Amino acid sequence: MWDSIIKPTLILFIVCAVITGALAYVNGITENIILVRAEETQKQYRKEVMSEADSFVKINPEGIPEKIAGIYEAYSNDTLAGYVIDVVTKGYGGSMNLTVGINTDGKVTGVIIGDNNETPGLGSKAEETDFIDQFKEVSVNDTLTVVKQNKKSANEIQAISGATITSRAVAEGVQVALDSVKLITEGGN
Amino acid sequence: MKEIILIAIAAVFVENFVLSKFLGICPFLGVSKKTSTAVGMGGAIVFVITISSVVTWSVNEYLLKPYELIYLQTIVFILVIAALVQLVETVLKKFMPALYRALGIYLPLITTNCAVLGSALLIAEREYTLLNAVVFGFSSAVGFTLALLLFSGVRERIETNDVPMAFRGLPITLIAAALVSVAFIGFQGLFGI
Amino acid sequence: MAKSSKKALSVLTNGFIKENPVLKLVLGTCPSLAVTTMARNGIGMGIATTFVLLGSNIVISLIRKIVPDRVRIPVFITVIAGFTTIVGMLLHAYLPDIYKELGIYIPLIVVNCIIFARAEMFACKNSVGMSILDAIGMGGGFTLALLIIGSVREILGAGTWMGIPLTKDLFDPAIIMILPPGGFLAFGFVVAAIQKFSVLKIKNKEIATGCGMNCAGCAAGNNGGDR
Repeated sequence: MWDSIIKPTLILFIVCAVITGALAYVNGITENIILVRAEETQKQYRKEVMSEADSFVKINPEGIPEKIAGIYEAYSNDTLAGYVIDVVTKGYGGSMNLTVGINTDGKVTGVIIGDNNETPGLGSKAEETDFIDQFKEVSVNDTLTVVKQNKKSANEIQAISGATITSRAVAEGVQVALDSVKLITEGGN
Repeated sequence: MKEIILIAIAAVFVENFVLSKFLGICPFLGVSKKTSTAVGMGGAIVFVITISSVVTWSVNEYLLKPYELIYLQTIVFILVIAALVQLVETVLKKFMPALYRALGIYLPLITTNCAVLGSALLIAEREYTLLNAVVFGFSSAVGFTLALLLFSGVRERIETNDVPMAFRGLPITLIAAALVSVAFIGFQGLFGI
Repeated sequence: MAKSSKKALSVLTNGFIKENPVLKLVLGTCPSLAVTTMARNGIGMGIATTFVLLGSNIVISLIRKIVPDRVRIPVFITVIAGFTTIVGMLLHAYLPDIYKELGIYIPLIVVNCIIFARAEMFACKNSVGMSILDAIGMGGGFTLALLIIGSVREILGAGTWMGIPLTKDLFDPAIIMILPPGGFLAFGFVVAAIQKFSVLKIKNKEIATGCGMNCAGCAAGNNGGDR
């Protein structure tokens, strides 16, 4: 009885308890670091896409699409410089976070691809400047389309070869950001 | 409805477990030598992944999330899967001996199969609803079986070929797998997924 | 003394070449193919796996005498899953870039055949010291294999190595090498090269069964003992 049932069960239980305890302990240590780091990264992203701004205020306008995770007003010396929008779009490997900066003229000032599950080394190529810089030529009134080759105008985004789905996801995300800024500014007027 | 169909097609073809996500490579290389064993393994995988999708989804949704125990996800999932495989084996043995005879020997191999844990983790990561989770799990397993079957056909032919010495065995198998995988890349543009 | 240190040395070096887990024993193929799109990711995965292997080998070797046979497998799985989660959390906190790149393949270290195989075949039969050496050897061999495959794929597929541009003016990179088929191709050619130059040619039969049967064999044997 002791050898065949109680002892094995007891030992299994003890091992599970010890491991769970260890995990809870490590989780306690790392959880905060992860949260703080994520918040810092977001802050840094906002700064990067809108370099002239020095402060950001989160706003909650009505009627924005659900893909938007957050909208910030960016201020430079207390004057409104533009908006920073966090968008969650659907890429090849699941959800993909974008941070898009759009200034008061309606021009895209920067796009950063945050957390994503794209194919390492391929989909993640979207983070490289050649692709991203294309978005700096578009503004709120443009409708973006993704082309595989022969880009003709600014609102045509040349896809990364082999990663059309990822490219399209980024373009869609930027489009959502553009549309919501249009909504906010026109609603305000 | 459209979403479900898209998930199913994507899981079978576009993000095929074996050929594009590299989950379950071990059985893919191990049991794809003969079509008959490929069918047996595939059947066992479809069975276990579908059930495990429901179970791990429920555990994640009703136990781990409410109590903020997400950090225990890996450990809980793998234990649930291990227990589940044992349970399925016992139940099949008792109530469906015919099915047990067909799938039985493949069941124990499944605990250490990354396709099962992989699908559970992907379902949790993508925050599917229960229905979507089941569809995804089932279709992924079907995709796995499809890859296994296709490949066992390829391998049966390689057996009779005169392969250069250095490429005999594993290398030629892997290169053949690469070619099958190239064929599956063709599905990537499908339905704009 | 001389004999035991010789044995220790062979335990340590075995994993690198003679019994390289990926290239010779064909264990842990999933991560070897999935994360080797870049040399850096290969190293990251290799080191993460080595840590899990080290932890699980130490603990399993320590408790090998008190764990009854009946619950051996669940205990091993729990220990391995525990270390995998810890490594995952540490990576998430301190090396978020690597964590992001490796993604779902970090929790999947749990089902990496290498770790389970070493627990079954080595750690539960040997002293802690030897198990540490074994973990370093096997983990090192795994990392080495991933680095080789990752380098081949990154150089041919992206024209860079460790992110450093190499082939800018020589040739256009072949994207296929960082796509899934490239994983199979690179792995196949690396193993072929080793078979070509290796003195210890693996026999056809052994290779063909590979990990599937290896893991399978141990899992089946274990479950048999369980019932």
